[in-house]
Amino acid sequence: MHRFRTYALSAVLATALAAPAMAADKIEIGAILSLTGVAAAVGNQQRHGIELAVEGINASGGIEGQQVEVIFEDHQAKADQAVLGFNRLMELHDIPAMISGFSGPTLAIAPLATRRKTLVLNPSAQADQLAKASPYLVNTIPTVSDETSVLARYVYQTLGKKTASILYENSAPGISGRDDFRAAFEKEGGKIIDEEPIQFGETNFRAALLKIAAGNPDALFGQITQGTPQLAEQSKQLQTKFTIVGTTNFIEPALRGNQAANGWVHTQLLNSVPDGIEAKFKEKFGEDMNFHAKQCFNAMEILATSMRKVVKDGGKLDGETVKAALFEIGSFGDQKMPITFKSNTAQMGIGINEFKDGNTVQIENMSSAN
Amino acid sequence: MNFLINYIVLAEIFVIAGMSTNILVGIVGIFTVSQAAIFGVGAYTVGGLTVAGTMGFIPALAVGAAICIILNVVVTLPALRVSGDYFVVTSFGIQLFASAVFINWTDVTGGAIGLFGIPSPEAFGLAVDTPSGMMILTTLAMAIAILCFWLVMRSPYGKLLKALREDELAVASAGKSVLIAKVSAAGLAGAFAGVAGGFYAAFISFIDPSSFELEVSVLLLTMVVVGGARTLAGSIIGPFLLLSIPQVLSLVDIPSSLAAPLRGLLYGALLIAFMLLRPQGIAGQRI
Amino acid sequence: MLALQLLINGILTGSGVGLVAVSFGMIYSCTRVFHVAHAGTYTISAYFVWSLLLLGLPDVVAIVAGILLCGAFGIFIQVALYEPLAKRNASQLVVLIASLGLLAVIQNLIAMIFTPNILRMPSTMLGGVLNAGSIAVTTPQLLLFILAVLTVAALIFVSRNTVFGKRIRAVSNNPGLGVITMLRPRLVYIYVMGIASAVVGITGIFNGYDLGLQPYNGTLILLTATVATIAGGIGSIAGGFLVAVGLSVLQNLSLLVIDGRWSVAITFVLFIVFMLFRPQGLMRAR
Repeated sequence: MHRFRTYALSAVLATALAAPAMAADKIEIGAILSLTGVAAAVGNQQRHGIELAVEGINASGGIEGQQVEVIFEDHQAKADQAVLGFNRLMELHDIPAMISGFSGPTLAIAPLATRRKTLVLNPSAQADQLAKASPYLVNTIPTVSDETSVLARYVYQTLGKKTASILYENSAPGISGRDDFRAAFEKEGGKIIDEEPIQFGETNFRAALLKIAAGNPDALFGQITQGTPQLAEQSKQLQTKFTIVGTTNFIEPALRGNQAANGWVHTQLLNSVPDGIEAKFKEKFGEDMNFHAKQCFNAMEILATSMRKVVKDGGKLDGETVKAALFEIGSFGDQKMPITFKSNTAQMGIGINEFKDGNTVQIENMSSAN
Repeated sequence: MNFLINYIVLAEIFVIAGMSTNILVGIVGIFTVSQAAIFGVGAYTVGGLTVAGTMGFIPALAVGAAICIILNVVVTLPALRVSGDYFVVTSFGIQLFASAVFINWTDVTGGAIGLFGIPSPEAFGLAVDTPSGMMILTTLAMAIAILCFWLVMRSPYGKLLKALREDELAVASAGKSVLIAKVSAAGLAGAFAGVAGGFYAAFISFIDPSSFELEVSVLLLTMVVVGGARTLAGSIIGPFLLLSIPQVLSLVDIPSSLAAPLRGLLYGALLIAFMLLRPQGIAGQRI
Repeated sequence: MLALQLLINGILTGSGVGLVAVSFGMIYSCTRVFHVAHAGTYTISAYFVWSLLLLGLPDVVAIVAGILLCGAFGIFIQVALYEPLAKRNASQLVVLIASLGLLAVIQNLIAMIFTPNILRMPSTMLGGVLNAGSIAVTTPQLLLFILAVLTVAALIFVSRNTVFGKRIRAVSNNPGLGVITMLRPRLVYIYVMGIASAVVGITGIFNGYDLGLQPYNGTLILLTATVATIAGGIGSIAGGFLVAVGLSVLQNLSLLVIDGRWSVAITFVLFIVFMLFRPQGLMRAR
């Protein structure tokens, strides 16, 4: 057993010393996602989105001839694992930029990104604190407050719902969303009756739904990242009378075809991927491309575009240069659904969707609040 | 190099934390799974006090240690009333209650969002904000902890604690107070866990409830058993070895989409193998 | 009205947790093994049925087969892991850690084979809902409750009134004597692991129908179940079941008076306080 330990430590040392020599003619990008644990489903979708993008990038010549390789780390949605993963990435590879997932872990590595001057792209997490967490953290997704203000206005004014309750996940984005919706809805003149928390990963909403129903709100704002199909079915079973509203979290392939979600209204961040990508995704991974996968695909494309500019201009690839290039380019995606950066947080179009006959359909198109 | 240094710092922090579990479980024989909660209290205390600028690192560490000593005594008291098997579950309950407090007492702990921007420690006027500086500090702390542990175990008091595991009745009939012995052991364990927690907060600079859940108590237990319960060498080997496994596994290039769960599986398999092949741990006596 | 709804919800959920508690308690009181990998059996049961349904088997057959497969799985664990450990005179702590390792293996294996996504049972047979006024009960919830009560009753009956039950209790009390008197504890352990694993499979399967399948969700329910086992009194089947239901009802009803964030915490505090006043648990072992 002593031998095992010696081997382990020597292996670590050997690889640590050898690694820098290996990063010769390819570009290494990091990605820290939640690949195991309760949030693994989201993490894996994100990973697939990135993998598909890299495949396309490399097939069309890479970054001015250099191939891109992504090194994945698993943070299990935990802050300390994210920090360790970040350190591993920075130490063992020459990484100018990385993609991160989930609010807590991203907030944890933000100060490290500042210290190391590494670019971190966040394509999926929406907690409000992310906007100012680090000058090197660029959010390619608007924070939740943008969506909630649009949603609150729509629910109060257009749908005429004067009272609402909130069901939220007891996690960073859940609490952010809860506070933002409450503030926005009350600003419109609405009244919040009840707020019920749900533990992260829980799929049994009955007790919370019963309590909310007893307060008789016109609408229920659901800020959960997992378990939306179960929420739909259980509210159907309990024959709840309120309209369920939410944000882009409701774009979930698992909800597709689920008649129980009919009547749900939600905001939808308008993102799109090039034609044919969704089909390729399905073919390669056997599942539908969800919102997060698209976000990660686009984030990888944004990185690639920015890196190409740096290399073309003759610069060296590091956090500073890629970040500068990103802001210089300023606008990505296509004309219909652009992603623009006037600050560290992207602005995207926001639409209003409703679930009809098991599918979510856009019924309105608003633009991002700031 | 920083990668290696970070691993060493973390391992040393867990050595100190692991000693708290080793004292209670290995030496005194109180099977507890709530040490992560105490570790967390130490982390939040130091984190909270230093973030707000109320105190420097060392004073905050002292406050944290004091709180954790008291807390651990309170939390271990039920063990006096409730026998071994039953105390395990009481201990579960305490850990779960603590996790709930961490995640819900938003005013103090920041709730699910956590505490971030915890400053690097400053010791004796010098800021320690490089990884190697941190490592020097934690190595120092670990050395002091090891010294304490060693002295305590060699002293008559330490022998008394060991005797408690063997035969409580004999100890009592020899005129020694079982209550005081257990309570003081709990206090000592609390100090170790609290100090480790404080270093953890300063090192990671961001803490949230997910770092102090039941899983972490179980990890501490595992480190103690794999390293070798009841021995000093075991307290050191256990954390270094167990923390190296995920690091080594992540270096092994598994080029498939199954990498992450596969690593989890290998970790589990290694634990099983360890228990079958060397249950007394690497440096331990049979427990 | 809300109170009644919450009460019923608590009883239904609690009966499922009760089966987990009773089965875990059976294993612990008989073999003294803290079988945390029991959570793995709970999780894998739903995946067994999911696979069988995909192969085209009708629901009833798949469910029964799933339960039996769980029993076999439990026996496999006993023979492949716990027996070798026992032969090496491993302490309880060592066995606990091995069981933890096994749980990690099971959960990650499931994630590798079935992906970590939340799956749904490919069947609508159990999709019905009964509505009585404002109370709603789904078919899986109802079936689980009925089966739970029947199973617990059957287990208590067997334990008290049959030779087999007496044999199990004898071996639980004194394995050494059990060896001498030819009760063959090793075989008893196999029976107990088999039966207990099959029983936990019932909850796992019906919860799978009701709430979906995921690889990493067994630990929380096991935790509540262990608490119930101990508070109910180790060795008491009825005690474990009643406390499990009680805990679930308490967690639900507490929503009436306190914020939902604290309901889990409060139940554990009450448990701790309870243990201080009644450290031997609710009911003595029979």
